[in-house]
Amino acid sequence: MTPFRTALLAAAFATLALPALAGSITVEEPWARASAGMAKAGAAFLTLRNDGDAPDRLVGAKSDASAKVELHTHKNVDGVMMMRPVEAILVPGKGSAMLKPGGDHVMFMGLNKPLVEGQSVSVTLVFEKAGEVKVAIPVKAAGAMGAMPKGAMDHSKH
Amino acid sequence: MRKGGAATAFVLLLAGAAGARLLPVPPAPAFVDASFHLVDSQGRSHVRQDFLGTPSLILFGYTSCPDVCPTGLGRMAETLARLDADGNRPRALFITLDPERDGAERIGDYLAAFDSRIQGLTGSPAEVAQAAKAFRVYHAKVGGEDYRIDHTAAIFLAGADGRLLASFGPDDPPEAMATEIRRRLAS
Repeated sequence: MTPFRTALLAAAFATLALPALAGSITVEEPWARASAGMAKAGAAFLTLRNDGDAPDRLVGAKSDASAKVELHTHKNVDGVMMMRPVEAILVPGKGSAMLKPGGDHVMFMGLNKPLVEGQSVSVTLVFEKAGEVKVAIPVKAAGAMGAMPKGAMDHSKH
Repeated sequence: MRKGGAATAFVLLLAGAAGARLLPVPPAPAFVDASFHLVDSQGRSHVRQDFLGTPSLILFGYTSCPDVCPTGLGRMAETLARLDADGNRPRALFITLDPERDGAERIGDYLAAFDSRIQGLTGSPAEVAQAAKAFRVYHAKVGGEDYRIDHTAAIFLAGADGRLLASFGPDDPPEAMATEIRRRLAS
């Protein structure tokens, strides 16, 4: 890891809550998108790291932020993005699951109030084995593409 | 992309013998023959000639879209920022696929969270469907009252003449898009 990336990560982590733990599962780099305008739908993203040998599954999410909270995934079929609810998201043993834009996410449906950049949204993640863990998810800009500061993601491939 | 009608037909004939799956799709008509009219967030009407004269970046979506559209708009805003130094930065358009829910004001409020330079457009369901068809954008409502819309997530580049010059997929980074847009607009 280059000093530049280390500094970026340090900067990113400094702005985030400490990683939340549930059993062998660690919740890393959680973030949600600010809802734009009168949008009633929102999304949160995070990485689930499993240090245990056995796989676990994220089977639900609960929050007072919206009328409904669902787990969703995207399928890209010939350039058409299809968003669908999923029953669970697998977190492999000694592995991780990334919920990220264009893929899996925690979906807020019927937001009770807007998700505002700089604030945080409280979500309880429910795992099949590890049980429940409450996460304070920081809200990033509506056009954010990752947990890191704007633009930082573009340099990750260099 | 700038092939004439005759050249395109020739390609189709040759490819037809080789198998339809390998056909290069002729470019979508984009704004060339646009007969639809759309309304921006200030209530101004936009017809064919308003889409010509300046290159355009176009994204189709809807404001109740929690991930794909914000990601697309974020990428569009970052691409515009990278093109800012250029004299011929394209205009940026966001055309709703959800005209029943997305009125002009709602789109304006939504886009303000991304980049005020992105112009929101809506219209009657029929006009919007025509615009989507001109770019071969697939869109279908899924679900009931709280419906989502499956839709093509590409960002399109149309030239000053209204022709489609390029389309970018959801995985194309803004840096690469800006480079390709410069290249297309220079040639």
